[in-house]
Amino acid sequence: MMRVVSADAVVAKVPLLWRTLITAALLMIGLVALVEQRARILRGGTEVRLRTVPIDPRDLFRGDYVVLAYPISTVHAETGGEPFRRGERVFVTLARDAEGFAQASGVSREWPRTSGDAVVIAGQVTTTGACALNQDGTTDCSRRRLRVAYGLESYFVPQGEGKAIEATDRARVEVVAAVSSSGAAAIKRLLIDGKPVYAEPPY
Amino acid sequence: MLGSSYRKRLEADLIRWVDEGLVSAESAVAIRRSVAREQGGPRLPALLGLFGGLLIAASVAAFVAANWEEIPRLVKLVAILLAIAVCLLVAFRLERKGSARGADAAVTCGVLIFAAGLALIGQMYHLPADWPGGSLLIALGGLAAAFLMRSSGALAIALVALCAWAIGRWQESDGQLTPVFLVFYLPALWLAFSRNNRLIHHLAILAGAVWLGMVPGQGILRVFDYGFVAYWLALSGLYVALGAIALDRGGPGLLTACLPWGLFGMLVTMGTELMRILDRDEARAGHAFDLVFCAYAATLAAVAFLAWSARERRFAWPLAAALVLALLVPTVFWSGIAVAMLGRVVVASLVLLSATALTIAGAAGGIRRLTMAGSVLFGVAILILLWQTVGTLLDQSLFFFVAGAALIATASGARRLFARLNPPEPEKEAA
Repeated sequence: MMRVVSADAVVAKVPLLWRTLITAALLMIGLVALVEQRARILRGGTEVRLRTVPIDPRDLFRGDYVVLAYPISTVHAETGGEPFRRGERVFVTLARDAEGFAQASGVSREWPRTSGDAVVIAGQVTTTGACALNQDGTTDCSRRRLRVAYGLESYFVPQGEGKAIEATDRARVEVVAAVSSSGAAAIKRLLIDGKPVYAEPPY
Repeated sequence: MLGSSYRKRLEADLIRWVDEGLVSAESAVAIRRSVAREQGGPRLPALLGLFGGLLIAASVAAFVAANWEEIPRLVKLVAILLAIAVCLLVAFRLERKGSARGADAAVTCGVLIFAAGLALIGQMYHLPADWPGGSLLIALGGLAAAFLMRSSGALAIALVALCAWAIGRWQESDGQLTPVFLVFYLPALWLAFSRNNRLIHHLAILAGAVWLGMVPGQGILRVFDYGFVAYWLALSGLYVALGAIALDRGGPGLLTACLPWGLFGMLVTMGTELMRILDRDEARAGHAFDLVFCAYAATLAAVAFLAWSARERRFAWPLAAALVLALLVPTVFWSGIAVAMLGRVVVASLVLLSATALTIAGAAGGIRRLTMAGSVLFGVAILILLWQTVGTLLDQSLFFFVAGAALIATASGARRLFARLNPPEPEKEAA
């Protein structure tokens, strides 16, 4: 019958001590790399201010956290060309409005050419037929848009405080996010009435 | 691979053979010793060790959760890293002492803590809630530990996590195929080949089946087409054929695990196909897309190999016939005649014949799973056909009568058929 070289026989040639050390190192480096990747965004990323709409604050497995939605979570895609699909990775260009808050000014599959203080943030299309979210937090279902997730949609808070943030008037909550040069984003500060409520240290 | 049912049967047989004088008492002892060696010593201490490790890990997790806010973030991170290091240190010591199973249990605990650590770090550092991405990281960690530490528990975790990742990405991307799955699955399959562990064999085979089953895309969930059922039926047939080839040729153990899952798939898909004839709308043709033809080609090639290279033909040939008959069922629907009475009779006959051939193959080869699958398919088919009258009651009565008479005729001729397929060797005259 079929003869396959045994993986166990191959690896047995390496001394057990080395194998144990390499396994431990790989598992630990994997975890530390996640933290470091996050810290690098927070340390060196460009800051953008985002209006928020907190909703639905609880998840059974991950403790208390606030689920956040932003006006930039829904993006208008130019008509023409190949339509976007759910799950696709996209790059959204962020411009600043008169008050300094970020607003989406374009979406593309490739890294866009930008000018001035525009920031590009990477996201993933979660829905292609979402209702538009206006600056005041109201929804407008007459205009269909892409819903894009940026990895800024959840923020863990001390137990019991998620509800309090959720109950706060949506216009008063603001997020400052850091966006790296590759478009990866992380929440840096959470503010209510312009005052920092939570600030995120790199480590 | 020695199952507990095989060992029990062997023990009963050994007692009988010694009583009948077929095997000497010394030979029986030698056989028992050989089986015990292959089994690899008692599993209980390792199993209890694993449970103990899991309970301690749960206790630590509860303690950490209770004092979550008071413990600084970096301390939590270091604690997670230390817990992984301790598990691997224990695994190292146990392996050095010769307790391979104990070491496996410790490595499994380490990988579980790594998985829990990912979730905790996700929470502490506000990482995006991307559970398929997290599953892939767990799978990678599990694969590394499974390879380097030769741990079956870590491999089991890796296979489950790989499936979770593939399903998650498949859902997110509207059913887009994720060929990258193979980059991680094939090494896992290679590792599973090396393992003498039935759970690992089944998980490895099942993980492959899950991915192959998702290949048709999101259409499965949105615009359902019976072409998908034909694809899954062909895939199930392929699994049965691969499992049968492995059984017929004495291994490898990993491939024999294909058989039960293939049979399960055949039961479900053929039951679904049979139910279609009860409803005129559901009996519509369906589409045979390229993927279905590919699956048919692969299955027919495997069936041809099974029949051509069979060592035990009286098991392999009826099984090959059962698979071909099963593959014919969707073609009746594609021809468009299943909406008419003739097509319905043909579909019902093919399903019943396939079930009968499966049972014959199982009985001839002494493979209980095949016999059981054939019998269950036969019973389910009768129930489905009796559930709703197709045509008139007289038509139905005639169908069952003809089918019953044909089966009795087959049964009476079966002994001669088997004798012709595998003629007994002429007994040598005593010198």
